[in-house]
Amino acid sequence: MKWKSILGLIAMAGFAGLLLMNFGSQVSGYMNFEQAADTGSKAHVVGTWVENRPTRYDRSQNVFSFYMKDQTGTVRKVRYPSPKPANFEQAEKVVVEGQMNGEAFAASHILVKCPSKYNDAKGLEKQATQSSSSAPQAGLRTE
Amino acid sequence: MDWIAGMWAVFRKDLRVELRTRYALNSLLLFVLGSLLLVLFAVGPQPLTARVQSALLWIVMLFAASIGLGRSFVAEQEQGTVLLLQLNTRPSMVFAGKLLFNLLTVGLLTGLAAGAFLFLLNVEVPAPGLLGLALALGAVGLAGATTLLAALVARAARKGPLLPVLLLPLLIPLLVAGTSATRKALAGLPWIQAQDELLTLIGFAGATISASVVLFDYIWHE
Repeated sequence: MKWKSILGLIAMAGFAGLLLMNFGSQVSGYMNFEQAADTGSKAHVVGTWVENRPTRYDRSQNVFSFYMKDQTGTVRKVRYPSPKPANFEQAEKVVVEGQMNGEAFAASHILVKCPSKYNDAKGLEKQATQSSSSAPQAGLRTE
Repeated sequence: MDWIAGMWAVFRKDLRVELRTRYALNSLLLFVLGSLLLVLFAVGPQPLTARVQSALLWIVMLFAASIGLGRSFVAEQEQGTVLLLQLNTRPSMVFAGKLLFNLLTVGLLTGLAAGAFLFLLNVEVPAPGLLGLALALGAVGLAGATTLLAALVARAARKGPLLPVLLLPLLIPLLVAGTSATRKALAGLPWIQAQDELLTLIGFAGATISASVVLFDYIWHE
């Protein structure tokens, strides 16, 4: 009876490990450019903006184009039929939604992931020390 | 030897009861053919992508399984044969017998659903081996998860809608991996690309069945 439980638990842990290890890659949703080209349909590609390649907005055609490097290091041109998204330069990560069109990626949406101004622990500390040293003592209650 | 004989007796009893009442068989047949015909009429002669085909196939399998499989333990409860089983057999025999019966049912259901689906929608399969393996592993996982939950649900006051409600969240990994592997088989991708999905399916089936082996004693005697 006891052996059955122990063996069962060990088997369960083993199989659950197998399940978890292989399941993660299927639900993450983000792809790289190569996989996006393979599926041929809509895909989300996550990557970073390549600053030293030409990034421009064509006013007459209303196309914003830039180069993006995905997580495997592949660099592709991204074309986006809208003006440049706000905060684009500050982005630490860019997620483009769309599909591969030859060598370029035709994006229908761009998500810009900027560093949060609320979660930056170092910046907060700095601000806090500055404000506490410069804040007038009278009439301020800090709780 | 004793254990196998007990398991076999439970299995044969279930099979005989099923062949007399044809509860699961009729509802499965009706559901599978009904939903496939509905899909057929709705889609018409349009060719579907592999993604849509795999989703349709798994929808049919999932709902057919959640309708047909919950019966096994509920019937024991309703007919008052639970005490008899508890007196005469060890819990693991009951579980193994029921699991075997559910495996047979799901196997039949999967074969029927996949066969009818491929035939009615006129789908050609570039990788039949991969499709067969994905469906077989999916069927084992489906039977494993349903058997344990059916034993749990049989004790509850309102049994009808409880099994699908409990089953759906548990089956998410199976469904994601199963549809993905089926899609790859229908799209004719090589085996190596479906490795993750197949390993996930093996892990799911193994985890649910070994969890059932550990937990069933407690459910059965409570």
